Amino acid sequence: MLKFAIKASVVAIGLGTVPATAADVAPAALIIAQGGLGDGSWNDTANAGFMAGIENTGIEGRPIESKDVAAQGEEIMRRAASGGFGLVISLEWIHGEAMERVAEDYADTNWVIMNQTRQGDNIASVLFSEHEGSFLAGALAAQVTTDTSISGINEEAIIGVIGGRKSPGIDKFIVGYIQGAEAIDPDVEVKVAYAESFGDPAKGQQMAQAMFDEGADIVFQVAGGTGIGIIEAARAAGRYAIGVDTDQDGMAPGNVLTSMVKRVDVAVERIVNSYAAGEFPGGETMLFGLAQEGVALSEMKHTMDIIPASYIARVEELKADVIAGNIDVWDVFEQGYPDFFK
Amino acid sequence: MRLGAVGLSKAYGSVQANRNVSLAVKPQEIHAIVGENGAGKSTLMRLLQGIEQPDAGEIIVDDVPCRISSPRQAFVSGIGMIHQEFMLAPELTLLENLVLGDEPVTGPLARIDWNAARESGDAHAAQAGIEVDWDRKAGTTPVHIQQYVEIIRLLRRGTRVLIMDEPTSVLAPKQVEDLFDLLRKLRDAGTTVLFISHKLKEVMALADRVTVMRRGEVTFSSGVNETAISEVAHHVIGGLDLEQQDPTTGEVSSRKADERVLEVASLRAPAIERSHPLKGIEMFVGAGEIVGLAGVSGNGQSELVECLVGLRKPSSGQIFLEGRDITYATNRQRRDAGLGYVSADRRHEGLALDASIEINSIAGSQRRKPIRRGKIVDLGAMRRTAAERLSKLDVRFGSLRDAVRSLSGGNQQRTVFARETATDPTLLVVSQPTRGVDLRGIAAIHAILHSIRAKGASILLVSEELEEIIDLSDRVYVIADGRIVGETSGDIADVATVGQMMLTGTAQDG
Amino acid sequence: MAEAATPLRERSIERLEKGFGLVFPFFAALVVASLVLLVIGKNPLLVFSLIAEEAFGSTNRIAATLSATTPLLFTGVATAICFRAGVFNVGVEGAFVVGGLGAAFIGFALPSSLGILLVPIGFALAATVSAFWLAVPGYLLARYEIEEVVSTLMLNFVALGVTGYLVNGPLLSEKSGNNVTPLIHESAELVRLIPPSTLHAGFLVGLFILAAYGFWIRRTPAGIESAIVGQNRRFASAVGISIPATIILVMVISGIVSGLGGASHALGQLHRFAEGFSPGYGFTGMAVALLGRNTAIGILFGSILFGALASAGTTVQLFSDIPLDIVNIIEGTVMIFAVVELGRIALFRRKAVK
Repeated sequence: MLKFAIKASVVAIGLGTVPATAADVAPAALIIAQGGLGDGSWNDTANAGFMAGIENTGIEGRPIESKDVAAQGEEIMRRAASGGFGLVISLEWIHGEAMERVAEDYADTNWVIMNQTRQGDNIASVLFSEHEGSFLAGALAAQVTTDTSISGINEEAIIGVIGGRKSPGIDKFIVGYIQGAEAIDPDVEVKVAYAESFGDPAKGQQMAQAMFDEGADIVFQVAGGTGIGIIEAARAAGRYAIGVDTDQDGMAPGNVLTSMVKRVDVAVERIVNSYAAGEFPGGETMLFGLAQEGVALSEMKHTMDIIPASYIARVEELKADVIAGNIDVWDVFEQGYPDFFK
Repeated sequence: MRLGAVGLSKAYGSVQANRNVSLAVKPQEIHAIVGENGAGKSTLMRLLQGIEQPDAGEIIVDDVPCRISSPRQAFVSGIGMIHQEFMLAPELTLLENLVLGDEPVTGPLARIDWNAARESGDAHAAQAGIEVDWDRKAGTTPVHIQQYVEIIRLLRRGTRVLIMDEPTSVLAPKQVEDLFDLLRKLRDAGTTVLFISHKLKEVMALADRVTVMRRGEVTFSSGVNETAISEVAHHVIGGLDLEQQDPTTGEVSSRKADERVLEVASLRAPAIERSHPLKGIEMFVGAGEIVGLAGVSGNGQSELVECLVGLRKPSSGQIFLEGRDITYATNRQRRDAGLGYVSADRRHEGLALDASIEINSIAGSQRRKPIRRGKIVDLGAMRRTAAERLSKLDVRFGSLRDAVRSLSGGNQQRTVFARETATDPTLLVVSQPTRGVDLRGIAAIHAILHSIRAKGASILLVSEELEEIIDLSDRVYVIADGRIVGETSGDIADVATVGQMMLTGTAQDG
Repeated sequence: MAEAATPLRERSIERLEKGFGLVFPFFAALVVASLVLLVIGKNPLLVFSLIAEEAFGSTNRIAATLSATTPLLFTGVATAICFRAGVFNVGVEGAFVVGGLGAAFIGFALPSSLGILLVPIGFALAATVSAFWLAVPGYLLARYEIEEVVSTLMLNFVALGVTGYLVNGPLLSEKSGNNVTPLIHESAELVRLIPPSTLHAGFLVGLFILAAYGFWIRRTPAGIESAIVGQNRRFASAVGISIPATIILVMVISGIVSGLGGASHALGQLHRFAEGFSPGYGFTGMAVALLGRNTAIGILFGSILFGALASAGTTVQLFSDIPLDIVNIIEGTVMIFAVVELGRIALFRRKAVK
């Protein structure tokens, strides 16, 4: 009742722009995670995919922001379901348990949660194979690190990675990276450090500088906001950083070798498409790895011309091997810690 | 040069700072203006300096009425002033300071002629009989030398009337002597000196003529040779005429004053801001006595009061209340032991102006019966207690919930008394009880003090109103420079003797 | 004449203070938000009625609003009790967070066999930890006159750092790569009052705390003393009230209330501790205290107002394209005018005195 009243008024005053097509498909909502829109990262990327999906399919959809998204998650989800939304995607990790509860009460609504697996016939769980993307980043770094013809590279086979904090979620990236590097050169040395913070650029810059001083010339950042400092350190020292999650190549053009991009936009867009087509993967856990284009290296707009094409070709080969199942990249999150990294 | 003023008046809002002030300073005279703080001396100086314009009256320079619209014009007319805090630029040398704003120049490029500057400085210094190291920075020069430089600087630029505001307050005794010698020489050489001070001894030693100001008016003026220090003191304090002096009621002395309610022994305490520290106070208050503490403000009264009531920590010495050592007791312990306190600073210490009348009249009793019942506050009892206390002292108020700020000054002060006397204290420390209270209010407060004493309480009365102290007290202590310098019984105390002790800092012989 | 005139003017100021205290900033905020809405081509009346509908339009929505109100009841009281005593404690945020972590720890670390006992233990630990947390700056202020604004503000960063470390290290949930603790046992969860709404028993605790606060400030000697200290410290010590003792007392109580709030949020709302546990409840609590003039009833309305804006401001986005920014503008303007209002009254008062 309330829903119709509100909808009527919305339409009447033109507050909302409801597309004419796909009118029989209920609207979709995207719940923005902590950090909000404008984070230039996770939320913005996902929202881009969401918007693209809406555009493709012509269904109605809205991103929902809250300053208190952790505590309000359940109320937002309930309100969305009771308000007639047919698809609710939450980008907030902490909404997992609540989603299980709400999904049970609203069986007609389709639910999507990220980076975890949740039970329910109407819930789709999305996982990204970050280890696979990191594997490619490591493989590229290990090739570049001994090529002294590239400016800023020394002959030593030393590369680095800095994580935000030590946790399985972060070590998933780090182990994939190490494995990728060792796939190129088993003797490569990978320096690993943790910043103990995801929001301390100054610390990131110091730690990256320290790694450069110890002979590393490429540092992979898996440290959120701290990573901004790592990229800045690479720019200042004329060395290289590797970005994470989103395409960070433009943050220091020429000094970000590549970025390990998590294509949450691909995942969200695909889910919106399948929902609109009436093929929502309810009850499934969707893996977005190299094969699904859920993780990838960036386009390397600024570094493509300094990286020998043979290195890229080698990376592509490895990628094909991973997709084909010839190479298993270790997943710390699923498999625990491997022997070579404790 | 002759400087005069006729009928000068100046008001700031409702405060009449100068009222019909007339003044005649003869050429080659050292003329002292004395008076208490707030007597209107500074306002008069500001008018003479052109910093402020009078509401009425005129200033006369060399027999010509003259409108002095700015300090610059005063300067051009030959009037120069040296302020309490010197105006030299600390980073410049004395020579630079000397010529600043009036540099001698030479040559086509108008270079500063430092030699000429030095010569003129030396000439003036020699005339004054002093030596000055002109290359020293002002900031590192001793204050008395700075003072000389400032004087020379004014003289060099044609000052003929030199106004000095409390020039001795920063000087050691020997330096005071030297300054006076210099001023006498200047006078003999033709400069007129207008000298502001509240130190009577100095004034009598230096000045040719003394003018007394009190409450914005000139109350007395005389050649120094035709008057005596006691007479001047009398006018400064504004006492009654000696003939009219009314001895205090005699009945009190029969009381057993040897039963000491308060005793203070060798009390020392650090200073508030620029005021004097306590330098070993010895005093007592007997049972049923009203003891006055007289003194020029800023001589240690506030520190003493704060030590007594527990708002300041003494550095040494002891305070006994009914034989019990309370030197380091908390404020609350003192109150429980029977101490009441009427603060001089009613607006900031005596009351919480924004709190309700109710809270202001019961504060301090919130943990006593009947307000506290068990662990909680009985609101009814609180209201009744407040109303009772207030009605006893006839405080007029609208509602107990109104902010106490809404009361008139007299009712505010009565509220303080209502609170502080309600618990029947054995000793009430009362500081400046009639400050800012109108005449009717003053009479009422005096009546309250009498009635408290009648109930058997002792009172220590601190006041700047000497008449008030003499009028009310059985005994009077005089405090000066952090010491008790005199004691006199109320019967024989008179304004002149006490006033002289206050101003000279010594007990009179005999 | 002067005597008659002054009380009248004073009384009108007081009325102004009480009446407009809450209402004026709110309407000022509506005016500002209306202007912004008009500029971006929306009808303010419709937007506001939509927000009101989302906040109070049905039982579920009222419950959602009260659910968002709950933490603010605690942080509002915790702030007000200090502000009232003239202690500018801005550390409620930090105390809320450490208390929340403490309660969550009890909730998942102790054996679930303790059952419902986990709840009182969790609340008690949270209150204790947070009481000590704020006792430190309280002591530093009382004993060494170290500015409480600075020390409590700094402690907020310490709280974020410490809890951030714990939740990413020793207390990190094994199931997660993210910064959260494990879920608390089901027996440690506070009951929901109107299922399925997230409104939980912590709301009742909050109301109780609010009522206790209202009683404390009016009916206990310590409550009256703290107000006197807040009005005028010199006066307070002159009438025998210990300033240091009062400062420490209000800081400790503030800590206890903050801790209970954190516990309520951890056990009732999130059922765990997570980074981003509080989106700034402590700071919103300051606005609530200012808006409510430190009175119990004022804090109640103030926290419902901010709770309504938080809950409605979010879900209204489902049904219109009003950005969250509009709600942020309303919140921000209410806060600004709450502070401006204080300053204006102070100014008016100073003029009246002259």
